Amino acid sequence: MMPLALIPAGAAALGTALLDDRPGAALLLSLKVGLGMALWAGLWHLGMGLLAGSGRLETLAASPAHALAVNAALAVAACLVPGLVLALTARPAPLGPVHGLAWFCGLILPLLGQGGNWPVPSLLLAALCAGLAMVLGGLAGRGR
Amino acid sequence: MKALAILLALLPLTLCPAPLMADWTRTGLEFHEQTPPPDPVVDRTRVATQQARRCAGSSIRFGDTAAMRGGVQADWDDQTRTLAAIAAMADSYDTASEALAATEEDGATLDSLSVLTALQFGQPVSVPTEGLAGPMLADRLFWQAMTQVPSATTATWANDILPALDAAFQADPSSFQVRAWRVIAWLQAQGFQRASCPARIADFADRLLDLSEASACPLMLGHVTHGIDRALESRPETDPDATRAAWRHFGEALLATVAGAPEVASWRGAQLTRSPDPCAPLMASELQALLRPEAAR
Repeated sequence: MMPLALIPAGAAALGTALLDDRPGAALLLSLKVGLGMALWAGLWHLGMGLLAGSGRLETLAASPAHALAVNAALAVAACLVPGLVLALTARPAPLGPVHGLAWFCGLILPLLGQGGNWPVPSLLLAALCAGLAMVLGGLAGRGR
Repeated sequence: MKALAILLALLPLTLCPAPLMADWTRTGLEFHEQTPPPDPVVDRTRVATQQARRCAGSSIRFGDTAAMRGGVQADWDDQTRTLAAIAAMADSYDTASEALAATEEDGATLDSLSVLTALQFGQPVSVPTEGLAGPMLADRLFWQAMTQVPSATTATWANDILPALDAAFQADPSSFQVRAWRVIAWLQAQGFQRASCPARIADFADRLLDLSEASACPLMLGHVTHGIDRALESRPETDPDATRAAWRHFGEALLATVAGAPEVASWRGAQLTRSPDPCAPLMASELQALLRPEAAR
């Protein structure tokens, strides 16, 4: 699903960039945000693997509330490094949050929702991560 | 940028599947509780029992009437027996009905023979059920259903014929013809079914297993499926109704599983993957689950 989702996400990011007066800067912003989202997803996967391997999840009762807490914590922890990188490499460009949302929809949203079930905790997690993605995009486009 | 490159290099590690942990599982980027496996829809115990019995006989009888099935004893004198034999062998309705009218015997058994004779000659006949019970009632309910078959719509199959056959099954579980026609009637009425997929599959599977309870013999079940094809005037592959075709594939696959022909059942199950019926995926997964112990043998 994710490879398919990259097509509309890429189109949205590209379209947003080309609408700007300075398409070069906007395209660079879009590329950086896209890479930042990919890094976020990669670190998130890494965190899941480490947590699963550590056996600590077995001490936690499997419930929707606990699942939301664990997933949200992993998402926030994994986005810190990409956020830092994007902030440090920021160049002024508009609509950073929009690029963040577009690449989030292409790279991360298809991996949420428990395979299409979308219970309430998944919806809340997706909303939280959409907000984080917009923050990351905004950080990448901030001027000095 | 160097840090970014190093972290991206670690990305392949994240693609390794994580082990499942107790009640937790992961789907994509989410940990969540494991959903318990669904309850089996097709009765596994009945399937296993019939597979073990295979061609052994059962208490189910193949006679057209209660008397032929041994459900009632016709204590007739010689003259009545002779006249009944004449009626059974006659090639015209007039001859048969005159022979039956000439008997001095009276009673429900002879009345049933008169009704059956009229039906066999395609004559209009009323089929009373008052005051009857057990095998005799089952016959009358079955014949009432059969009189409606030639002009039945899907609504008639669902609202009249199927309930009559189910009532006949309750009245006399030993009648094979009732068990067979309960499957045909369900297929004819399937367009009117409004229950959930698990409920419909369980209902249809129960009817099929009622049918194969007579004998899970490959030859007999092959004859039965041929009889169903003739009643529906098509093979499952040529059925113009695509959703009914899916149910027919499932039915033949289940009977093949019971009869010990897993390759036939697998092929039929594979046809379900191309079906537009919304219950087809559940039917296919049930067949796969039933075939797994067979494949392991």
